[in-house]
Amino acid sequence: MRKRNQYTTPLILYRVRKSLKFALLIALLMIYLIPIYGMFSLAFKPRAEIYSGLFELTRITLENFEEAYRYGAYSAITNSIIVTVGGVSIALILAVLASYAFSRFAIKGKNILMFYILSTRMMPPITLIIPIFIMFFNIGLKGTYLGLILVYAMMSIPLSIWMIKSFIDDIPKDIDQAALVDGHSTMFILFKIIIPMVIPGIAASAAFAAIMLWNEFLFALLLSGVDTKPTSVLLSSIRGERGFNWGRVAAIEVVYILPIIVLVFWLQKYMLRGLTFGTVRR
Amino acid sequence: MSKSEYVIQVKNIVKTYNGKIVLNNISFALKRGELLAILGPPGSGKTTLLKIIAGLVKQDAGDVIINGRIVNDLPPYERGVSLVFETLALYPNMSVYENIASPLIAEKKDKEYIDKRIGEITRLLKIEHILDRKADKLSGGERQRVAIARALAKEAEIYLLDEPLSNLDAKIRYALRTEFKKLKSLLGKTIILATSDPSDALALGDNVVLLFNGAIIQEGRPSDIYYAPRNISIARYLTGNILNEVSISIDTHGDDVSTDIGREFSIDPYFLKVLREVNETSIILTSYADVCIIDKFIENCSGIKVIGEFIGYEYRGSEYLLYARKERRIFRSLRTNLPNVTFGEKVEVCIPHRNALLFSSKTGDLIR
Repeated sequence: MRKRNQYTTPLILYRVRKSLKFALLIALLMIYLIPIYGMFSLAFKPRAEIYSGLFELTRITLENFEEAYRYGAYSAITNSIIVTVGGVSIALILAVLASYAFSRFAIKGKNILMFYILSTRMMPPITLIIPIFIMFFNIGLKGTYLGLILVYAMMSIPLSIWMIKSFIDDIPKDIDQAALVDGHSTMFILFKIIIPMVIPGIAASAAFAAIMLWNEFLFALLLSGVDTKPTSVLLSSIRGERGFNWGRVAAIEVVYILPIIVLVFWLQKYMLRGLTFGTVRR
Repeated sequence: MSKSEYVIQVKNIVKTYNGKIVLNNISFALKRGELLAILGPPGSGKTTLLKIIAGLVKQDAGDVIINGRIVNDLPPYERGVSLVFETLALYPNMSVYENIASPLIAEKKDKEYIDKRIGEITRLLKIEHILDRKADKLSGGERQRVAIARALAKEAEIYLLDEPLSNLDAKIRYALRTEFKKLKSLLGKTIILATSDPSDALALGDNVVLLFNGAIIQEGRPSDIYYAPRNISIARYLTGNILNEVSISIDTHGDDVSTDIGREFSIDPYFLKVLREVNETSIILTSYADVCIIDKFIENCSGIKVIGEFIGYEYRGSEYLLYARKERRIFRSLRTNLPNVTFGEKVEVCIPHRNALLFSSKTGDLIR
C-alpha cells in the first residue's frame, strides 16, 4: 500500500475536488437536458400515452409531426426562417460597414455614438412597440415580412456592431496602411482584406443575432399577420379541442429548435470567440 | 547641386502626439541609388518618420519633397514610395502570389506583366516555390522575404524598410543583409532603412542618421559614426553597451594620472602626452572590443595596460568575446582564437591609443 506523504495527500484532495466539480456539472447539465429530453419524448409518443410518464417511451410515432404539419407549423417555421435570415442579413451588412468606420476612421464623438448605439438595446422593447406598431400600420408594413425584418435588423445591429468592431480592432492597422501604399481603395481594403479576416466575428455575430431573433416573441406577436406568423407566435396560440395537445406542441418545438441546434454546432467555435470578445487585451 | 539631384528631401519635419514631440525638426536628403539607414532605439520616432514619408501619417510641420515636388498633401499611392512594415503587414487571407501582386493589381497591370514581374522578384528573393502558400502559413524568414517582394513589386522611386531584419535568427539575418546589398546594387534603388540594430545600419547604410528621442543627433558615413561617435551614449548604443571604459583623472600641473581601476596600470608616454593635451581633467577612455586586447602577456601595448582577471568568454561563430575584470570594470576583447588562460587567472588588458576614444566626463561629448 502506498504510504501517505506530503505529495499524495494533495493529489487525493485534488481528485476528490475534481470529482465533486464533475458531479456538480452533471447535475447542472441535467437541469437543462431533462426538459429537452421530455420535449423529444412527448413529440415521438403516441397521443394515447402522453400522460403515461415523461421518461416512458414504449413506441415511437410521427403522428404528432403530421398533426403539427396540418396545424401550419411548417409554414410558421418557414416564416421564422425568412424573418430571421432577413433581419440578420440586413443587420450584418450595416454592422460590418459601421464597425469598419468606427474601428478605422477618426469620427467626432465616436465613443458617444458607440454608447448611443448600444443603449438602444438597453431600452425595454415594450416601450418601442406602440410607436412602431402605429408607424408600420400607417405605412402598410404591419403584417408583412419586410416589417418584421426591419425591426429584427434594428434589434440586431447594436450587438453586431460591438462584436464585429472588436474583431476589426484586433487586425493591425498596418494591414490597411499596406494596402493604401499598394494603391487600393477603402472599399477594396474592406471587402477584399478586412472582411475575409473577420469572418469568424461575422459568423459569431450572425449566430447570436439569429438565436435572439429566432426566439423573439413580442414584436412578432404584434407586427406579424396571419400568413407571416413565425413559430414563436404559433406556439403561444396552440389550443386543442379538448385542452392542450402536448404531443403537437412538443413536435412543433422539436422542429423549432432543430435549426438553432444545427446553427450552434456549426458555428460554436466562432461563438466561443464571440463570447470572450473584449475580455482579453490582444 | 540642384534640387532635382535629390530623390527625396525631408525638411524640418515636426510631429507631436498628445502634446509630446516625437519628431523634432528632422531634415535630410538622399540622392538616387543611396541607402540611408535611420538608426535609433525603439520609440525614437523611426516608424513615424517613415510613415510621414509614405503619407500614412500627417506631419505637424515641415515638408517631404520627392523629385523636387512637395508631396505633403498627396495620398500614399501617388508619392512613388513603397514600404516594408515592421509588422510586415502581409494579407493573411491571401496567397504569397496575391500578396506580391497586390500593388500591381492596384495599378491595373495585365496578368502577363504581373506574372513576369512576380517571377523576377521571387527568383531574386528565392521564394518562387512558395507562391501558392497562404501568407499565414509561412516561416519568419519567408514572411520577411514576401513583405520585401511585395514592396519591390511596386515600381517606386523610394523604398522604405522599417526594421526589415528584426525578429529573425542570425543565419537568415546575415543572408538577408547580403541580399539587400545585392538588391541595392542590382536595382539601383533609393532606400531608407529604419533599424534599431547598429550592426544592420553600419553594414547596409551608405549614410547613417542617428535618431534619439525624435531628434537627429548625428549623421554621416558608417565609419564616421562608428569611429567618431559624437557622445559616449552613442558609442555605448553602437556597441550594445559592451564598450570598454576607464575613467581617468589627470593632474595637469604634474604627472599624476589616476583611474577608477586603481593605480596598477602602465601607460605609454605618447598616450600620456595625448591625455594631457586634451585639456580636460576628467575624461572617459573607451575602446571597442575589436580594438582592446586581452592575453596572458602583452609585450607591446601602445596605450594603457592593466592586469586583470580572466572571467570568461563567449563563442561567436568566427570569433571569441573574452572577458576580464579589473576592480569594478569589465573589459571585453574580440579575438579569433582563445588565449591559453583559465578562468580566474591573471591576464593583461591593453587599450591601444590608436582607435581609443576620449570623452569628457562632464558632458559625455567626444574629445578625441
